[in-house]
Amino acid sequence: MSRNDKKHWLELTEKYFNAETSEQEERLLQSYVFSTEDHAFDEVRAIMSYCHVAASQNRFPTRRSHYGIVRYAAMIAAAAGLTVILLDIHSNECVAYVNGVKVTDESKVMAMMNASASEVMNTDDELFTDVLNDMISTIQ
Amino acid sequence: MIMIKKLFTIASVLMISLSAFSQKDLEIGKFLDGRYKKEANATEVTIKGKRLEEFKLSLYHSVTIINDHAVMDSIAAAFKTTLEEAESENISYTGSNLFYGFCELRKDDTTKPNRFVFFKDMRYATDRKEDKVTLIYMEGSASIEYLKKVLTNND
Repeated sequence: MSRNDKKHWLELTEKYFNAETSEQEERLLQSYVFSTEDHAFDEVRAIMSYCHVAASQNRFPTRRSHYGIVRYAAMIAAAAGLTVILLDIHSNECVAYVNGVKVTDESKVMAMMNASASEVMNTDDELFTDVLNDMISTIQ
Repeated sequence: MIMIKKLFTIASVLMISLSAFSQKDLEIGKFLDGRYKKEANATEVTIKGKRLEEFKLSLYHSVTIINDHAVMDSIAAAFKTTLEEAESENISYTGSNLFYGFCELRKDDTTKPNRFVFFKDMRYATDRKEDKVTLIYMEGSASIEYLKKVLTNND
């Protein structure tokens, strides 16, 4: 590994932010970022400095557990948001299948609803007929 | 990619657990589970949510079967079984054959939506034109009293 291999150090930095570096990799990265003035590493340098100070004072959670908690909290929040979106999609539906063919045109689906309900309500029972007539005519 | 997969897995589990359909616990539920979507002699209509709000409904689900007498007889039998769970019903026979029916199902939890089932077997219509059975399931806040009020207003 060459200390001049910037790509490698950038990849290691990303790995560090994902809390996936080993102890040795973390030490190597720390050694590198503190020896270079490359601005590409300003962020990781700042974080490592902070964690180094915090660890020495033994007052704050380690970088690894902190980023792990943040990462999983973000994942749960994203999953909850995705659930809300999926539930909204799932709770509003207007679809028909006719002879195996899917129909998603809402006006056509509502017309099919009218047709199937009309078929059922065409009886001699006035209560049955009038109730469904009111419901279906309102739909249109 | 792994993160995205985890997100969808969590979201899917949450969605499934929060969105159970109450028609599945009924005998007629097996005819409304989507098995006829790809059948050449069937029509299935599913409407949920906003399109039904003005009718005080949250779900409309119907299936129509043509010329498959075995399935049509099974639907009729399932509707008769479902009548056992009805709070109120209105049915009509042609001879010994169930021609049409409507019922409102009992519910133990007043916070849950009202549920209605409609059935009609055109094989027993006086003006029989084709062999067809239609089964309709509805859910919503609309009550039988609301339906009676609508009829009273129209008198």
